[in-house]
Amino acid sequence: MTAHCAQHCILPPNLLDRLARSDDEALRDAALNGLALDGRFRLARAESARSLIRAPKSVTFARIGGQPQRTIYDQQGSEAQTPGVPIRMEGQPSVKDKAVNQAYDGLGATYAFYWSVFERDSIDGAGMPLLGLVHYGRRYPNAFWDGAGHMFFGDGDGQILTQTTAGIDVIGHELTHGVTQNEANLTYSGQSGALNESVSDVFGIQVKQQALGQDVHTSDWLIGADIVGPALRPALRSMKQPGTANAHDDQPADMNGYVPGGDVHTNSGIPNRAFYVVATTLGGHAWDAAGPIWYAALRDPQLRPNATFRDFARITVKQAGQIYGADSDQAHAVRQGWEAVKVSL
Amino acid sequence: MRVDVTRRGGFAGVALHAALDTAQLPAADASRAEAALRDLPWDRPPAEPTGADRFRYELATAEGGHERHVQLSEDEISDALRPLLDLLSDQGQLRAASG
Repeated sequence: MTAHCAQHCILPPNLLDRLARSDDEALRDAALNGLALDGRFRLARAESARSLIRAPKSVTFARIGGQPQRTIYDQQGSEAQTPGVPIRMEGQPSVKDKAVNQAYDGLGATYAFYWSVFERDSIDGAGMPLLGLVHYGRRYPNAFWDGAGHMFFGDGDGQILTQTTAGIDVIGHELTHGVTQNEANLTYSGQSGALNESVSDVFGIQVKQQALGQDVHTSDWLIGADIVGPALRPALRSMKQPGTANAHDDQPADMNGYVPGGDVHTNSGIPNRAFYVVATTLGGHAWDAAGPIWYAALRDPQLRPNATFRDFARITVKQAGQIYGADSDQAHAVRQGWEAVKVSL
Repeated sequence: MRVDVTRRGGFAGVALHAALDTAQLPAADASRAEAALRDLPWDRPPAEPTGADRFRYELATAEGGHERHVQLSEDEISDALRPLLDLLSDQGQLRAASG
């Protein structure tokens, strides 16, 4: 991490760190105050990202899309951060390990969703391999995207979560973090982080809805219902009624409940519910219009890494107008969605 | 050595908290954990997370009379700290994500 001189010259963090351990109390206090400025500088860096245009992507014609390239690895209970033993490669039949098959099928369904609805060829739009790493850690109650092209899945602890590959929405959620990283690259803290989380729920639930043949009224709009243990039943999150999914669900349903400094999985309830309102107002399948509007917003160069809820909302309204017309049902539904969660445009 | 541990983040978005003591561990594990705890970058500013849905751990101690805090990403956890985190899994109380 490098510190740049803006209006104030900053001592490099490692020097501040050494000073913070000094025997001299005055020096320690000064250094700790200096380290506290780091937060403000990170904010300033995020602000400066506004001025950067998104780098253009190179185009390759070497590959015709439409087929995933999946490899599922067994991490064998290790916390190693790189792929373990390859168990199932693309095109190979089912194996004995149920988690491997679930990851394979879930990645296939997610790929198929993005290809069929958006003609998006994998995470980067250019056929990036889909790498699922199962049996990560010991009784590990989590799944994550590592930011380097791998999706990790734990077996769960039997209390908080069970086998995480059993959730097709979970797999869709994790893969979508890769899509977001390749598009708007929403910074994973604050409102941009909550948007990042919400985008993963928005497309994760649609992957599940498509796989199960559910429309906006037959879907339960619950995230993680297939992987919760007894401690978090019936689900991790509700896009329909944030805050009601389980005994520890603290998601707000609108901006009145926004949690300053809250976890990115907390405030994501607000944009989640906005999407739910848009989709159910329009009826049919979520990917008829709501999904494409959200996808177009995610890919809009005006959506910066440090976007706020308002920034994102405005871009969805703009995209709805551009795709369907300013006075269309779709554009009106998008405005209704943000009004319902009290995000002012 | 007493240490307060909270696990946050993760796909489930809930927090897990326990007030622990290395004395709860077998002697060899305890001394390794204590050495690892002393070497943590206490009070450094939190780093930006890589990837998404990873756990992070917030540790707090009051050793020597003043409170110190550190936030670690789960991939910064050394083997010497794992027995302590196993205690967290066994004894921890679930809380809401932002609680």
